[in-house]
Amino acid sequence: MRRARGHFGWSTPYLLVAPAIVALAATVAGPILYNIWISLYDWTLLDSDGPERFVGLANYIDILGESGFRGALAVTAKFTILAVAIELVLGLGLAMLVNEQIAARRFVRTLLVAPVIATPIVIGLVFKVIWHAEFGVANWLISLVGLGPIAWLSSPAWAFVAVLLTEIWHNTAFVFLVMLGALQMLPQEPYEAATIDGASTFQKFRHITLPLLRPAILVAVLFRMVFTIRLFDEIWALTRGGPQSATETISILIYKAAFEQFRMGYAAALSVVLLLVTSALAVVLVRVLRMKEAA
Amino acid sequence: MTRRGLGAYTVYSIVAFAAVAATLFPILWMGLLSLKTPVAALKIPPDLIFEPLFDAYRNVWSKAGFAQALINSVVISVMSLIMGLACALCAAYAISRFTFRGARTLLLAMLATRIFPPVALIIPLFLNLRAIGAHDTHIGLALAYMALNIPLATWMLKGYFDAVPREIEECAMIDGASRFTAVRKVVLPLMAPGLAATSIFTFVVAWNDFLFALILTSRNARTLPVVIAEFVGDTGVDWPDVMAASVTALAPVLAATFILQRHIAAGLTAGAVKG
Repeated sequence: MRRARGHFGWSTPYLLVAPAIVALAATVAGPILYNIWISLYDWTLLDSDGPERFVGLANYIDILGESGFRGALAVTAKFTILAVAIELVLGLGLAMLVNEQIAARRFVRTLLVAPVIATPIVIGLVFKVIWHAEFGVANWLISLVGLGPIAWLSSPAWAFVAVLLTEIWHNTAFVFLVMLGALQMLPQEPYEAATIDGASTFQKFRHITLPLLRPAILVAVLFRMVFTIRLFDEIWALTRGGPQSATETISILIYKAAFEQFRMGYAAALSVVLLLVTSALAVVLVRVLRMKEAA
Repeated sequence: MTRRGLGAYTVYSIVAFAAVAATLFPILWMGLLSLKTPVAALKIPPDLIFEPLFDAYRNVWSKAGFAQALINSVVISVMSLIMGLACALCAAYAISRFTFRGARTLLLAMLATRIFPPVALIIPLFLNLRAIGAHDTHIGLALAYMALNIPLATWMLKGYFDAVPREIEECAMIDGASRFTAVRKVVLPLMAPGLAATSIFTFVVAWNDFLFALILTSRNARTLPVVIAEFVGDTGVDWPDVMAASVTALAPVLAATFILQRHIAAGLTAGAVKG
């Protein structure tokens, strides 16, 4: 293939990517290495301005041994799996619905997308009023059908549900968008052939739609997973991880360790662990995408 | 339409409208509460018909720190947008137009960066900014946002550059234009919608952020999300005020969502889905 080099030398592309690389080295790569270094020290920010005592992997051993981390890991995992699974079912369902003949289709599509990039902390605060036990509209609505009242944010089990529902409300739109895009690209022929062969609607969904949507489902699921694992803002607004650590995710735990207890070494080690968990997912994501490219 | 087709049409439409109602309800509720008095906002059952008051908006604007936070949010988002977009434009152009060693690795590294949880960067960023005296400054926070917006913008822009045939700029260059002029006068105008979408996305990354602003600022450079969250203290929350502030923060984002429409899926999954 002919390349348009003009009168530029081999160094041009490197000079062009240099600013981005320098910026990312300073804001991402450097901090990650610094984080790993801090994680090997015992350091309380209140006592001194720099890492105090080298402790090797002691922070990591502490993390694995503490119930706080195991609890947060369980909450994060449970939350992520539930949220992503429900978002997937709802998002796919809504996308299939909008892909059918319905009234005011474009209008419906546009409005369903509304929450997709809404400011997370604002969503958290809006839902904090909605879930309020005494004057929240959620309890009023369920009282109309004779239920409740529920102590949404002050009972550990219900707080988890409230945060989960908030997250689902916020992010189903993303899955919906990805699925709708994929549905609109599907070829018509397999469906026509299946209709001639007398396949039922469910059979068509199970044996044509789902397999063809597989790449899009993978993208949606992996994106939602890496973004749900890091969840912070909505939980901060709604419960700050409480009550009794019922909604304390790893992100919240890191924040509390670093900026409430000032245990920098320990918090840095937690960050490294979170990074490793997410990186494992990232590897899967990149693999999947490469597979798609090769196909 | 057959009778069965009409039945399905009706049922599907009703379910779709119910989903729209559920999606819009919290946003409308926020708007509704922002127009009530603090007492009316707490009333159960709520008044659905009432005389709207703009007191909460006036209160919020006169509240210490609110106007400043709004200005900070705009200034910091614009700063990070300009810096991030400048870096990303150069990088995306190089990756799209040149073959060079490491191009692919760089792209994949940027995709991986998007996946790193920001909270894992926050401790070193906090310590570094404090060490160079940039904690609680506009530029310090804007620099931190480059970690989030460069990978996103580079991936988006690479796609838009790829969509412009390289012959077009070659023609301009044969006619005597320099490469820079060819890009500025020919390529960039052709990808203007994509450039606009990328800019809006990049802006929203900074505008929406809470965590970085919470930790990397303390007073002078506090942004809107942090100040709004601070309105919700332990006692005596004035909910109409909080909701009025929330409407102010959310309105530009909702506007962006509707403007972006066509680009939003491509932007959110930049790097994962070929647009």
